Amino acid sequence: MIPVVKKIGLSLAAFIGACYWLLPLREATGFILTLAAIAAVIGGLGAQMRRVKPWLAPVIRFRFVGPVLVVIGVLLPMFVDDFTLRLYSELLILGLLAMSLDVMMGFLGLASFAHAALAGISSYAVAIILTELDWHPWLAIFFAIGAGTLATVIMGAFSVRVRDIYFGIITLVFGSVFFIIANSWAWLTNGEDGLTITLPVLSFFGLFEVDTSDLRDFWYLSFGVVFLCYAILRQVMLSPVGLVFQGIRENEERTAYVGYNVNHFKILGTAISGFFTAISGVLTLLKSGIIGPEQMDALSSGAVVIWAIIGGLGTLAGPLIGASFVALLANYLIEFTERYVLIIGLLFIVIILLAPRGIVGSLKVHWRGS
Amino acid sequence: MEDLGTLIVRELIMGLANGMLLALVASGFTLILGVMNIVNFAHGEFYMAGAFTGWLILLVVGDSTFGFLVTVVLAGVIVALFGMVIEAGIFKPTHGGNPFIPLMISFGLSLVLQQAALASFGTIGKFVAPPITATVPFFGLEFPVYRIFIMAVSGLIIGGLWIGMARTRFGTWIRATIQDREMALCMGVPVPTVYRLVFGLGCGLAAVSGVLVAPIFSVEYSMGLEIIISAFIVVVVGGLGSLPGTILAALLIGELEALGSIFMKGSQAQILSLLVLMAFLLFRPQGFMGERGLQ
Repeated sequence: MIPVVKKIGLSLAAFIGACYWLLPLREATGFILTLAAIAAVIGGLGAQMRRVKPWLAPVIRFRFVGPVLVVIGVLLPMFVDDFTLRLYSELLILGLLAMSLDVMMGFLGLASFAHAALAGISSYAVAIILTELDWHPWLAIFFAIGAGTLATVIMGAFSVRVRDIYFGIITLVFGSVFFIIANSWAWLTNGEDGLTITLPVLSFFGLFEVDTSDLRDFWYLSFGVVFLCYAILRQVMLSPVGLVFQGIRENEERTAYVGYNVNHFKILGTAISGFFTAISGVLTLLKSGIIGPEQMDALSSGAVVIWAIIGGLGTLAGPLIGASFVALLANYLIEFTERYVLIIGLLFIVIILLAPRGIVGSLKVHWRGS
Repeated sequence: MEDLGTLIVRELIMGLANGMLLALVASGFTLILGVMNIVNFAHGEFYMAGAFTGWLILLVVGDSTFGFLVTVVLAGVIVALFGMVIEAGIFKPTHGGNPFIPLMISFGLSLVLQQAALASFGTIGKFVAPPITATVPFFGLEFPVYRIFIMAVSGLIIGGLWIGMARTRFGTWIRATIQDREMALCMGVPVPTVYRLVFGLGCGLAAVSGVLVAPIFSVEYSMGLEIIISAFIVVVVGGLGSLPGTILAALLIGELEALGSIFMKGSQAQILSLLVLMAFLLFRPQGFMGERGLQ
C-alpha cells in the first residue's frame, strides 16, 4: 500500500504545484495546466487502482475518456470567453498537424521537415479556388484536401527511394521549394502578401449550418473535426496496418522478409499523414481567412517536429498535447523575450537527450511500466 | 548591353566559384555523414558561425589580402574547435545508438544557433569588404579577381583534403571508420578521436566557406538555411557519403543555379535543383557515386 500512497501523494503534489503556477499565468495557460493536472491525478489513480483493483482499470481507456472529452468540448463555450475559445481552436488545429506528423515519424519512423509547408498547400488551394474560381466552399475544401494529400504522396514517393535517415533531408528540400513557390509565384499565390478570403458558411447536408466567422461555431467545427480525426487515426494505428507501420519502424528488413512490401506501406503512411495534414491546413485557413508564405517556412515546419517530439512520438495523444504545451509556452515566453524560440530549442535538445519518449511516452512508461 | 553568350560565360565562371564554395560545405557534411552516420542539420549554422567569426576578426585585423587569408584560417580553426566542443557535449552520448536521435539533436542545435546569432547580431546583414577589388578583362567584360581567389583557395583546400584522405594516417583512419566502424575499432583505430576530429574538420570546412562567401553576400543569421538546402541536394545527387561524388555534384549544382539565375530571379533557381534531385531519385537513387544511399 505504501507505494500507492506515495504515488497518489506525488500526483496531488503535482496538482497543487500546477495550481500554484496557475496564479501568475494567463487564464488560458492556467486552464490547460489544470486539465493536465486533473488528467495526471485521474491517470495516476487509475493506474494505481488497476494494480489494486483490476475492475477500475478501464477508467483511463479511450472509450471512457472519449465521451468525457466530448462533453467538455460541447460545454466549453459556456464557460470561457471568445478570445480563449479562439485560442483553444487554434491549439486543436496545431495538434491535428502534429498528430498527422506522428503517423509518419512516430509510427513509420520517417522524419518529415515539411509538414507546415504541406498544410500550407491545402490552405492555399482553398484560398485560390475561392478567390479565383469562386467554386462552392465544400468543393474547394475537398479539392484542397485532395491536392494536399497528393503533394504529400509525391514527396513521399520520391523520398522513400533513399534510406530512412536521409528521408528528412529530402522532405526539407521539398518543403523549402514549396515555400519558394508560395513566396515568389505571385500570379498564383499573390507573393509575400498572401491571400485573404471571406470566411464561408458551411452547410452540413442542409441539417445545420456552421458560420466559420463565428468563434463558437468555429470551436464546434474544429473540436468535432479534430476529435473525429483522433478517433480515426487511433483506430487505424491499432489496426493491422498500424502494426505493420510499427514493424517497419522497428526493423524494416525483417518486415520485408515477413512478406510486406515496405515501400507501399511507407507511401500509404505518407498518404494517411498527408490527408490529415491537409485537413489541418484547411482548418488553419478557415480560422482566420488569411494565408501567407511565412506559414510555410522551414521554421514553421520545424516547429511541428518539435511539438510532436516534446509531446511524445508514436502516441498520437502526445503530439496533440505537445502542440498545446509548446504553443502556450511560446505565448508565455514571448512576454519576456523576443527570442523565445531559443529557449524552446534548448528545451527540445534537453528532452531529446534525457527523455526521448516525450511527455506522454514517458508518462505511459511510468504508469504501465512498459 | 551584354549579349547572351557573354552572360552565359560569366555566369558559368561565377557558378564554378559558387560550386567550389558549396563543395567545401557539402564535403564536410558528407564526411560527418559517412564517418559518424549523423545527418547534421546544423551544418549550415557552422557556415554562418564561420562568416560571423570572420567578420569579427576582420574588425580587428582590418582589410588587407594577407589579413583576410589569416582570417580564413583563424575562423576555420575557431569554428572547428567550437564544433568539437559541441560534439563532445551533445553528440557523444548518442554514438552507436539510433541514428534518429542525433538527427533530431542537430535539428534542435541548428535552431538554437540560428536564434543565438539573431539575438547577438540582429536581423541586419553585416558587410565585409572584399580583400581584392581588382578586375581582369575577360571575354570583353570585367571579371572580379576575388572570384578567382575563391576558386584558388577552395581548390587548394579540396586538393589538400583529397591528398590527406588518401595519403595520411588520419585519412586512412577516416576511410577505415567509414568502411567498418567496429572492425576499425578492433584494429586499433581510435574511433572516438576520429569522430571528434572529423566533426571539427567538417565544421571548419563549412566555416572557411562562410568566410570566403562573406564579401559576396552579406553575413546574416539565415545564411545557413539557404546553403544547407543546396548542400542536401548536392549530397544526395553526389551519392551519400561519397567525397568525389559530392564535389562533382557541388560543381554541377553551382553551375545549374548560376545558369538558372539568368532566366529566373533569386532563389527560384533552387526549383531547378529540386528537379535535378527528383530525376536522380527516380533514375539513380545512389547518386553519381556510392551505394550507401540505397536501401
